[in-house]
Amino acid sequence: MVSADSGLVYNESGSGDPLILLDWTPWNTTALDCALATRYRVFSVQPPNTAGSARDAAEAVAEIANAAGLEAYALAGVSLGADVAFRLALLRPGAVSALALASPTCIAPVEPLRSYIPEAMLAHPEDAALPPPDSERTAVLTALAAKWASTDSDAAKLMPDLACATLVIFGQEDRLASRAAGGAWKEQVPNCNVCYVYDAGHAIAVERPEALVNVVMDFIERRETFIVENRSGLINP
Amino acid sequence: MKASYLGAMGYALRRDFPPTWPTPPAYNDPELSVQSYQDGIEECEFAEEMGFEWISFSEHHYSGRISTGTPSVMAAAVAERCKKARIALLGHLLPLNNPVQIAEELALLDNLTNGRVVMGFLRGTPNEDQTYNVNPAEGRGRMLESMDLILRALTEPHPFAWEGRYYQFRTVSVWPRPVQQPFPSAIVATRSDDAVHFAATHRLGLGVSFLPVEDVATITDKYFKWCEEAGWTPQRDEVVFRGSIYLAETDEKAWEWFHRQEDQGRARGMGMRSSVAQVIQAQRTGQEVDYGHVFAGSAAGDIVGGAPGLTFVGGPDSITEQIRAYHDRCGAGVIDLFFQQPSLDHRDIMAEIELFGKEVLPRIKEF
Repeated sequence: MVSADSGLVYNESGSGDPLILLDWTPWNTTALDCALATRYRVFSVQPPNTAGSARDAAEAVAEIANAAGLEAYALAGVSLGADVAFRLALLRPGAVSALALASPTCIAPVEPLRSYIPEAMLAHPEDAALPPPDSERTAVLTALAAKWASTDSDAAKLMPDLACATLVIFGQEDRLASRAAGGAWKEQVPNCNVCYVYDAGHAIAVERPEALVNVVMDFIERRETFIVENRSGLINP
Repeated sequence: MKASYLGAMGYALRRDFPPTWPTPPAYNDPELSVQSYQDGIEECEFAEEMGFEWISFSEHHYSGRISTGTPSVMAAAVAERCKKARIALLGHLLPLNNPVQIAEELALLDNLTNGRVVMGFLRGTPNEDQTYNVNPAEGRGRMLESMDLILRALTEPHPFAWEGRYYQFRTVSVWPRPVQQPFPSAIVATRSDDAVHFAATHRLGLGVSFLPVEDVATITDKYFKWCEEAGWTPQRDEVVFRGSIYLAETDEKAWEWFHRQEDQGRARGMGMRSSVAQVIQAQRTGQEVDYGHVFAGSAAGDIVGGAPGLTFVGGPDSITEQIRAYHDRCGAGVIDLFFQQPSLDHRDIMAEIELFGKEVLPRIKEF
């Protein structure tokens, strides 16, 4: 782990084109991080202990990119991390080559996210095989969400300014996002695809990690062209 | 209570088939096949005229007994002749098909019929897992995912991608939108707890087929309980029971016919040879199977065995009371009836529809 001047902590792994990952849920999941590191030089940034707004957090992440000398990078965010990734893509429109937002909460939530209740973030909280959330991380994210609920209400107005290729991913059973959330992203962001992951709630990486990895990796790799099938259907030559 | 006529579109000489599945295409004479479909359509029209409020179609494959492998095609043809009845797809076999294509077909049919479609979701009989090479072990998962995807596809106003367990699509954008909003009336046809629970929690109807009253009641009791827990009460049209029927002028005549069928080995439908059935059922449930006793197919078809017999047999009074039991004990609001027993011809069926329309339907409508 590296501590940046901004106070943020991040881990760098893998090699290849740079990618900044903000995987911020109550779970210390590593599926996305590990998978991305097989193809990219991943800067996996942990949530800050304090930040006045998502925009402040985005500026702190941008400083990490600057310090590392990154002129262009792919950007992926999860949950509150997706809200920060959205802000960062707006702050550095020329730097972000592709933006993947999993379970963003800043647009059309059922209600503004003020606290993190892990059980409400799962499609199947009764599944005993799922890993437990990290209580310390849950407390940090809850404090950030409570603060940002009042400071980041302008997100919807900023959507048309998002210029980069964008993929927004929701769990089919995400109880934090309203049914209108996907449509709002699709309508308001000029170059946006929306994907639903079956049988997952808000914490997609906990319940369907392979599915999340698959769609994020494919999108980062191929951006807008990820909608074109490129796998062979040939059975026997 | 409403009555639904199952447009099975059986081949005219189905009485001559061996008791096997699949029915070899060699038994099909195209000229007679054309006439069989015309007869079947005429039966649907007459059923509507006699007061049946639904005409239903069911996806079944490789057989001349229920000859609607592509039920949407059949439904579209009949919908042009039956202008009042609801057109019920009861239903598509979800594990076998592309869910997005099903959504497109349902939405198009709902437009063609100006909002008369009832959509039904089925897993299918075990033999049909073979039709399009579906692994029986994956049928349950495919059905559950398909239902979610079809409902999303029918209701989502913008293009979307889907990352499922069994289905992956990067662009789904169903056109046209269904006339019935947010989506056509939907029936989950099942006996399984997980699918019954899905129906209850998603506010969908329930369909059950070919079981005795108390067995159906066990399923519908759970359904009503789970609906209540989910905060809603199904409408009467949302609980459907499908049964096969033979109606005659009197009980004596009906049972005489039935016993004659038994003597000729026709009282039971087609089934599956036990070894093949065991393989499919084992794969559905994850059990191990001894493949050493499984035989290769024959030209005459290679699956034989038992299947459910008739649900309703008798004269008008008895049939009325038999149907009443499903209404009173199970809460069924629609009774979907399969008239095309193998030994009956078109004229027999028309006469039976007329008798049902005159002597039974007016009474069950009072339920």
